[in-house]
Amino acid sequence: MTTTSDIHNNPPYAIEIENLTVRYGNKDILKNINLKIKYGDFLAIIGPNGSGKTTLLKAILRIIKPDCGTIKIFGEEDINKIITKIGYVPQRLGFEKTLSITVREFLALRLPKTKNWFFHRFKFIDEKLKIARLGVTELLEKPLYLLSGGELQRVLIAFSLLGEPELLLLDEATEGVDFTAENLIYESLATLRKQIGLTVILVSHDLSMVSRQATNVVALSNGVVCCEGSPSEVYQSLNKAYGAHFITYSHHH
Amino acid sequence: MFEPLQFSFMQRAIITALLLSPICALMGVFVIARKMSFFSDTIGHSALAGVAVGLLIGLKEPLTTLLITSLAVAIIVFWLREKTELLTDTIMALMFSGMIAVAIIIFSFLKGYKGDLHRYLFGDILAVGNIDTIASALLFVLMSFIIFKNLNQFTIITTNEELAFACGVNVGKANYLFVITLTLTVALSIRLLGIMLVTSLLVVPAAAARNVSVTLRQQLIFSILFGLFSALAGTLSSYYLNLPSGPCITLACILVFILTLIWKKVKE
Repeated sequence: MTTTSDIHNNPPYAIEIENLTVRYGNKDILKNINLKIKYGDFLAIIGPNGSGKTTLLKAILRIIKPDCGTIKIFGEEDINKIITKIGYVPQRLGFEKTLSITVREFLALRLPKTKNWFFHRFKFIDEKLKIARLGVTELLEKPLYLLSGGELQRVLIAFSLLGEPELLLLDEATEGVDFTAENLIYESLATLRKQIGLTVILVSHDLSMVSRQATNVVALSNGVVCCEGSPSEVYQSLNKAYGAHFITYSHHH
Repeated sequence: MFEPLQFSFMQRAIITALLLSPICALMGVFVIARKMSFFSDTIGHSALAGVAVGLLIGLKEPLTTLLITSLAVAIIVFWLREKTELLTDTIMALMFSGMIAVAIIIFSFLKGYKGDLHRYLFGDILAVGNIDTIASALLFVLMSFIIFKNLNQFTIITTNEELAFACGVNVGKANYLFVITLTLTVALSIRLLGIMLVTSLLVVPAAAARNVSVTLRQQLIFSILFGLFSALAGTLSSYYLNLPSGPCITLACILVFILTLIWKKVKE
């Protein structure tokens, strides 16, 4: 809930990106990106493979250092000051078979104020997970490397949620996930946005998948924003500009 | 059974083995998960150059030069990995071969050190001096503190570095801390295990523990137990069979590994 003092204390946007450019060698991966995302928005970043979607997400997190431009999250440019307010779900994460870590042990690492997971049992994780409603509770004693693609994605989202983030960044969160798991993920995100006003940025190659939930869509092509707006606006302008080509292209990947 | 304990050299060797093995075994769990066994091998082998330099400048006990060289090599490998586009594997191979070459050239200038070379290569319980035992005791206290204080960080950088970063972990700092901890552990284990076999006490108990564990907590506990057992059994058999301690401890580790593998197969 927003109070008057919040409005005065908070900057108007959750994220403000100005003139962001990221280069790799002499190639511009992202060119002059300008974006403003309001609190509680669900932004979908779409575009074909190699359009710079993941780079944009990693630049927001400063995993990739921008070459020019500024990124402010909750009005703050120093990522270290607000990193604890951010949840991040990377793309296609694999876990080594060599480490026999269970889901419960893994999730314990994300709890704030956990001094040392080795000496705790973390029974209260079960309670915390029920709130997220991702169906992770039954996976708790499984080793991480044995999870299926969909199970792993749900665990990773639960992991990022345990840090109680105000901003959640998801990279292709529903790729390789079956229909039921996909629904679970989207429902959970919708609940969290309603309950705690979570701001969400989701990267996807497929417009139709995200249009149910997203409040805004940004379409990237070769590192530039080619159109932005509501899901239906973006759909129409992409259809006009690229015809069926853009839409079908994204369906194939 | 208690006969060897009446000799002070055996007391030193056994105490050192019991102090070093749990630290090695604990670090080993993360070393195998991060595929860093070649890294620890590189550190171990580079230490030979430190020993050679120490003997060259007339040190009776080259532990100082050994530690300095190992730490320097570890930091150079890590620095090159972060600042250049060279593959980690290539960097390590460069350091590994370069340092061995330097060590052998220095040793060929030194006359009458063949015995020392053999001891450093294969480990020797007779060579474990008071200074090694004291250094191991200090290492044990320091490392136990560092490892348990930073266990969350070490675990999370092991699972995924990007996730660790997003959790607010200073990944660079945590990695350096991990590498320095590992280097000190490896460098101090050389007396007992020898340069050639120093990785065995690090990697094999952890791998054996992996065979019998479902959770990470179990893997850490079993790794420590297997490490303690192998180090003790190896040191004692080195005494009874009059053999270098390195190969004895290594074979004890491998025996435990085989037994756990059989246990795993039977259980399946």
